[in-house]
Amino acid sequence: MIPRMTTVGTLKNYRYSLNNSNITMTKSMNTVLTRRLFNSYAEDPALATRCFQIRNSYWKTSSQLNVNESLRHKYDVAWESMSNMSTDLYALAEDTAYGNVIRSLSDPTGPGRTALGQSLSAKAKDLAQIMNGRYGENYVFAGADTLNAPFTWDSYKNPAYIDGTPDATNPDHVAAFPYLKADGTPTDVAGDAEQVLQKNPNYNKEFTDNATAADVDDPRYGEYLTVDGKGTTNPDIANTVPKENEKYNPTTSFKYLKSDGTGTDDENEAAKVLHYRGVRVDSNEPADVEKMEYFLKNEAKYIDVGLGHKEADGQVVSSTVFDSSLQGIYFSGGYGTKDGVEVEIEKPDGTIVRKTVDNIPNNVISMVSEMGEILQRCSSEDGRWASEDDQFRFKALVDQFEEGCSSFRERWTEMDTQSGFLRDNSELLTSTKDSLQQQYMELEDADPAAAISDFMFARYCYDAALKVGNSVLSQSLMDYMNL
Amino acid sequence: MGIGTFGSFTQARLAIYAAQTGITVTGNNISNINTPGYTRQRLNQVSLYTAGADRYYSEGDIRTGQGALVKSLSQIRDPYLDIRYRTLSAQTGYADGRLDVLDEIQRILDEVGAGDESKGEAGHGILGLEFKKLAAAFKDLVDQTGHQEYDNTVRQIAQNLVTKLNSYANKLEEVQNNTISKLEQNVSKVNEHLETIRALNEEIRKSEIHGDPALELRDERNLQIDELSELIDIKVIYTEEEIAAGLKVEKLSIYLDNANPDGTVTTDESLLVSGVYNAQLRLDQVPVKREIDPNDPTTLPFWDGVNQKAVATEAEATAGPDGKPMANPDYLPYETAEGKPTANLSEAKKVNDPNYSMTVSELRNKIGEIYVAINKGTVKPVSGTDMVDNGQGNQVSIADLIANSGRDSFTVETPDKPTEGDKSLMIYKRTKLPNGDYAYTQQLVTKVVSKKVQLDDNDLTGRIQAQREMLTEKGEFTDRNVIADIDENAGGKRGIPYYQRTLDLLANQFAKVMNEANQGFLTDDKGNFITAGKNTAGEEIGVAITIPVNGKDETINSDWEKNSADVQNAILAAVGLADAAAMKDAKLTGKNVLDAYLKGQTYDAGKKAFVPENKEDVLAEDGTVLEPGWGKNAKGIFVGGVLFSNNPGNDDPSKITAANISISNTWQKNHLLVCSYECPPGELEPASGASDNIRHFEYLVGDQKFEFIPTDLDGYENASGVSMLTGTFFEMWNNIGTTLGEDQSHTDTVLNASYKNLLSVDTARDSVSSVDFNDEAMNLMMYSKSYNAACRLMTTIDSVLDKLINGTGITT
Repeated sequence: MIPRMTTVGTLKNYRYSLNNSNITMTKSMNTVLTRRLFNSYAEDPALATRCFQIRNSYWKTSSQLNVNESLRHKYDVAWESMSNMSTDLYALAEDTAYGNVIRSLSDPTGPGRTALGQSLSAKAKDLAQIMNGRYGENYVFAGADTLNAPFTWDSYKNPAYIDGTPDATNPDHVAAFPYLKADGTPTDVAGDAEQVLQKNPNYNKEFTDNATAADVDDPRYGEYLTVDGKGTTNPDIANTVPKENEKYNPTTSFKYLKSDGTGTDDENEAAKVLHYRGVRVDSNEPADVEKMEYFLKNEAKYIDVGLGHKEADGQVVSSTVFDSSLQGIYFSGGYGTKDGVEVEIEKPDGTIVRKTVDNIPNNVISMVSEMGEILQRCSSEDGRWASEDDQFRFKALVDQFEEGCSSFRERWTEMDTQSGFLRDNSELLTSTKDSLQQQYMELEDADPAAAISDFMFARYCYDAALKVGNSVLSQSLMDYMNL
Repeated sequence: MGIGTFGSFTQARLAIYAAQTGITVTGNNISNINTPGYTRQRLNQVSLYTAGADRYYSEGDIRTGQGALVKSLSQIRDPYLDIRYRTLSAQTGYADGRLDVLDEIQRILDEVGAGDESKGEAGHGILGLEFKKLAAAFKDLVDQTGHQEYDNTVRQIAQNLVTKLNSYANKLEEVQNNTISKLEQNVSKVNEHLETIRALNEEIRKSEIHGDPALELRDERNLQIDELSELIDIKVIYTEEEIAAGLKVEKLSIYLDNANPDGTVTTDESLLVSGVYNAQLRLDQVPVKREIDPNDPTTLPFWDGVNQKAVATEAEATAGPDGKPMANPDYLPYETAEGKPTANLSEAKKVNDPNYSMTVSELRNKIGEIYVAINKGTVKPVSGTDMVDNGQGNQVSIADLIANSGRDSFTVETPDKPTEGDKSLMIYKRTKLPNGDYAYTQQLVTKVVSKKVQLDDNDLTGRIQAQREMLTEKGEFTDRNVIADIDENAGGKRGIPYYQRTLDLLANQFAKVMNEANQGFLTDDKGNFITAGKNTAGEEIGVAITIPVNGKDETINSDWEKNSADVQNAILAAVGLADAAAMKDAKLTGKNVLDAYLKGQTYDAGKKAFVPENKEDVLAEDGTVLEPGWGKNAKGIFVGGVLFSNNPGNDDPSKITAANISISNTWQKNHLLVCSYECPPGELEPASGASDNIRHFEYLVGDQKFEFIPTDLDGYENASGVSMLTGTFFEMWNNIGTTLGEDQSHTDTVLNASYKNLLSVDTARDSVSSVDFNDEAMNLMMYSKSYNAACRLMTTIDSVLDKLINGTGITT
């Protein structure tokens, strides 16, 4: 059936269409005004979701870039510090530590050595100061302890110190007792100790076995000593003494140690030695070594710089983050001491003497400091070494210092690699950030030309609709009636 | 019968009258062209023909009509189009009602294009951006750990985040309150319409009795029905009602239109209007119940007869003589409008039923009489020898029953009643046959008294149902029993509560995760829990906590799996759990058990929790310890605290929602963030710049994907246990927007389609019923010409008769 179009029906349809035309124009207008293709999830839920995800990535990348830039500057400061260190340590300049060392070996004049010693001691202080450099409010080389200066010259705490009265039954207090009882427990009363034959400290078995009667007075003769101090091979006539505790340490009652190794309770008398984060750098004490090992191997300050930050079982996956901690102890050569350093020196008579030296520090700052101390101990008049041990030790330190400098260079290079990574990462993050911004802008932003032409077209349609409305009811049969 | 000599005048007069009436009707149509609901009227005229024998019959006479008679006025309507219009109107009303609320929600939760342009944040959103800002602040804090200004920045952004969550939750509540008002208004509108329709029915009935078709009243009634159909889906039925012998009038009935997809439900066809009776739609009211307070025995419903005290649960109650749990005699379950406790239901303050359930009242007329429906069954032939109850308990044959009554029919009230108050009558009749025998019939007539009808959840559609659903539907948070018993589609319907609960789940999960990450015990570098000890030098150092196992002290690792089976069993025993199976049964993790061990707690199977729960002692007013806390018995070094609480004035992390999430009281006042739990060997605190936990926070806020499960929310333990989303907090927030957008987009499409259909049907209705200028102009011309012609007829007859009377027989 042909529908009967009535005036009322036509008006309703027109009203609906005009409203639609107005809505279309308003939407086009909003697109032009907001410069966005959509302004609610409802307009395009999938696209809106995607854009928010991209914006989320953009924000995250921006944040990663910010922290990456901060780290880059920190590494720049660290690099600069290492550069200053290198200048002080081994550049072949007159005023460097290395130059001083070389001169101390070649210049035997007394005042020269002590002056050089003072210079080296001051240089050690400078080096520690450089390693205490800060970026912003944080100490660069302090590992994760960024609020505290990492290197300090603190009083030498006695590692063997026992607080209170030593307890013979406490295995940790054994070093406080000079003797051992028959049951192996320690004691400080000689009478309570196990009585043992007095051993000849100079005993030589081969000499004793081949000795003649004339040799019995030789100190090398006899495994034991008699009451009058002579050597004997007969245990029956040997003198008896309380059994000594090999672990005995006479300093256990003192809190601090002096430079000569003796104990003291006065902190001012104590030697000032290099500490890293409260731990003596040259210490081989198990507790100290454990801490240093932790600083070097386990302590980290992980930051997400866009490597895919992940956690597994509540623990960070280290390959997905950047460890921003710089351990000064690592870059300054390490901690603890080295035993068995073989050195040789030439005596004034031209003979070559060889010796194995123990307890040579691994840390270059400690080395410089100790070299300075040894040189300062030389005679101020003729420059002679305070002892032959000092001479050997100084030579061993010089040898190790060269190795330390070499190691320093390697670690500096390592830092440079990390710094380079941060530079490259910065570029990558910048490019990712720009790309993400480009992506969401492409998805969200309206093309001005298209938006304006759409709006113009919608407006044209709306105007046309208005014009049509003007003539919807303009004519009907009523207007032509002529009764 | 032939027309008389002057009958032709009558013919012309009738023609003039018909044409004049036609012009009046056309004029009325033109006048009402803009009257809403007006149906064009049509003049019904018939040709007048009088039959019968003439007084003087003439064989040459031809029988002619005697003119035109105006018989009636009628409206032109198509009932089928009305039905279609009203069905579509309900669908449109439903979609429009939903979209109306969704648009309100969108104004709150949709952040597309939002953001502070002056800060370069345009388009980044608002709440969503706070999550990103918080992650970025944590990242900055990783780099600058220990510096208070960065710590403060984190707290300030967290404060902004919770403030926005609070604000969104409050705005959603406003939308809810507005929607409740709208629903109440619409229920009132429905009732006004029903009342008006009943009144119009009464007027139309009166008019009809007096022979007036009452077309304008019908227009008004149709308009009312159209408006009603937008609010609820209805079915309109026109029947005839015999009001006196031979006099029938139209009776209009309106029913709910079978909206419930459950075929077994019949309440969705409830009668709303029956002639001069109408029902009312009522929102069910429920009394306000008091919350259970263990310290107030009048709030506890049950009685423990052994301990002579009121208890909260059936399980704690003593069984009474009837085997049922004993009731607390002092129980005052309700609250009056003044907030006082009461046991009297009538005194209790009433509020809308939380499900916004509705009841259709009994139908009443103008003076309050209740409607009684008389349903007549079919007349069935029976045998006169059939034995039936005579109404007094005796079995009598139908023939005797009628014969004894002395009439040809007998009525017996049967005991079968559809419901209490109704009547069922069996009418037996006999009819005498030509052969003198009787034929017997029976007919069941029931008189059903109108009663209240409690509507089912899906009995309605239209705008009211849309608003009900937007007020009640919880989507994935719907109780599984509701899905099983009431509405199998409820899990997919998302109203305001869904968006509220989703926001709550986001806030709750966020607070829970952050609070958990900020509380714990310090460990050494190997992950072993530590406590304070001393070295030989008397210095305080961190030493590993140990537990004796097989005569040896073993350390306890923070990673449960890294502890040996013997260590695990020793820890389980220490906290009162038999073994790993018991731990699993109690739904506890190794982390929970380790935490309890270090706090010195033991597992309370009754409470299903480790006790004591509080860190600090619970003190009486006089300072005596009522309940000791675990703080003093902790084995490890506990650090951190609650970051987010349910009130800014406390540190209570329980029942956190989007509306109440706050920065905890302690965090407001102190720097509470735990930067790291790991201490260097021998140390009692982490390094000053250690930031592993801060990095963990950043990961939690920005990268960690969580399963958002509705059952994790307090009070929704029986909701869907399926994860709504596995994603980050931001993704969950984005998902809320996406879900809303999809809902809006879908509803908008449905609304547009419904509205277009509605417009199309309305246009079709208009093509039948509305006024058109061209039509009316044609009618005007037609009736004008008819009028002229009738006048010309009159003149012609006059001229002819004049000739006949005055000119005939006159000779010159």
